[in-house]
Amino acid sequence: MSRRLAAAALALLCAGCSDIGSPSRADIYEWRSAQGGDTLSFHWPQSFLPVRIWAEDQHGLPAYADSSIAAWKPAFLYHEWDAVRVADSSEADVIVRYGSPPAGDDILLERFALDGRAPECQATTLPHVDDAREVHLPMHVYITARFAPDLPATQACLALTLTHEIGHTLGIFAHSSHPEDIMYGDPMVPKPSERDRNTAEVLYHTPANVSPAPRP
Amino acid sequence: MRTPILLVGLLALAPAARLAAQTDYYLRAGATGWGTLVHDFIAADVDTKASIGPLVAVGLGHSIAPRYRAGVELTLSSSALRTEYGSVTTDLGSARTGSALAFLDGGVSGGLRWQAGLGFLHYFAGAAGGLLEESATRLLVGGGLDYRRPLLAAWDLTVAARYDFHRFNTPALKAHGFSGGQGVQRVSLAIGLARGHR
Ligand SMILES: [Zn+2]
Repeated sequence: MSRRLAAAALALLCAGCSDIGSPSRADIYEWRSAQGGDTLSFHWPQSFLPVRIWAEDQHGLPAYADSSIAAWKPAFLYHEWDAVRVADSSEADVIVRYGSPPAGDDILLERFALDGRAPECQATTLPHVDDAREVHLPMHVYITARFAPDLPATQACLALTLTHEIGHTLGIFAHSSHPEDIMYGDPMVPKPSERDRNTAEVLYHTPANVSPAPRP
Repeated sequence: MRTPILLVGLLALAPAARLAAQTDYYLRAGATGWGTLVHDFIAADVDTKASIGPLVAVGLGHSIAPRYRAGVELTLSSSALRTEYGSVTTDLGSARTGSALAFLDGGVSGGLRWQAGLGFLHYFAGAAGGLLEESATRLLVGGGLDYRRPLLAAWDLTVAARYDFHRFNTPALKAHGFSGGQGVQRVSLAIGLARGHR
């Protein structure tokens, strides 16, 4: 019997050595921003987490900010990114306002919902990157409806577009070429796709050359 | 697979063989160390590990032959979970487990006994959005050595060294596309009191 037990222990020891089968994360898109021959790659360091997001109480933006955070969180199996909504804009790392961006801002990323058939809303994310490759905080996101903001179609546009912009703020500084991704230039889907999630996760495991400036 | 099945059969039949046998029981406390829970690769190695954490164990043993005993051991443990990649370490909350192991043990010499068993390891549900957002139960195989020496009139001092392993996977990992299971090895050391026949 002791021989059998020894054999069983040995067999189980060997079985215990093998690794779990990891998913393939090969299906991703370019997330870095190419600016005048320079490539900018950004993600939030662990010391900044959770990222603090404030949303202006206009046309349901706070609820859409919550749903945007909830939509992106599952991408980060290992808690590489996290965010919370805060009640005071003076404590925020990301400020979401209803309206158009003020003129003269250094616009690094811009998305306009130019789909002629459904031009319900538009938004802009402004991560101001200085020469020292630091992102000034807070980042600003401006989102606005093109027509009546309380129409169901406009509300749906605000919700998915804010999820798209939160994707920019977490470090996806480019657009997907796939319409089924939330980070497509003119997003049409309500939440991040598997490719969006893969891209977000991979970018947090890739060295960044832009970091957030110290919190004010 | 044949050997574990034989072991289960033996454990199931053994208590019936000697209904009049003597019983003893024990309570131990100690610590468990874990091997890697998930080995992943995203641009570089990503390893999720559990810290050394406390455990409590209670057990009941029944003599089934002059040299052999069969019994059941229940344990609870808790460890902090973290993921490491590059120079980054992220906090994933805690892994709280409970296990039930049916075992067979036998004398080696003096107060030393070997033990081998088969059972289940249950991961209690943890924080939302984590690896353990939902509970998971895995097959557990373990063994080790127990040392026992008289301490008081009816109580013995007992020290146990254990090794066990299971294949780790959870609904959250499966939802992320993981397949199979990570072989996880654990070792523990515990000390306590035992009461019963000597
Ligand atoms: Zn965009």
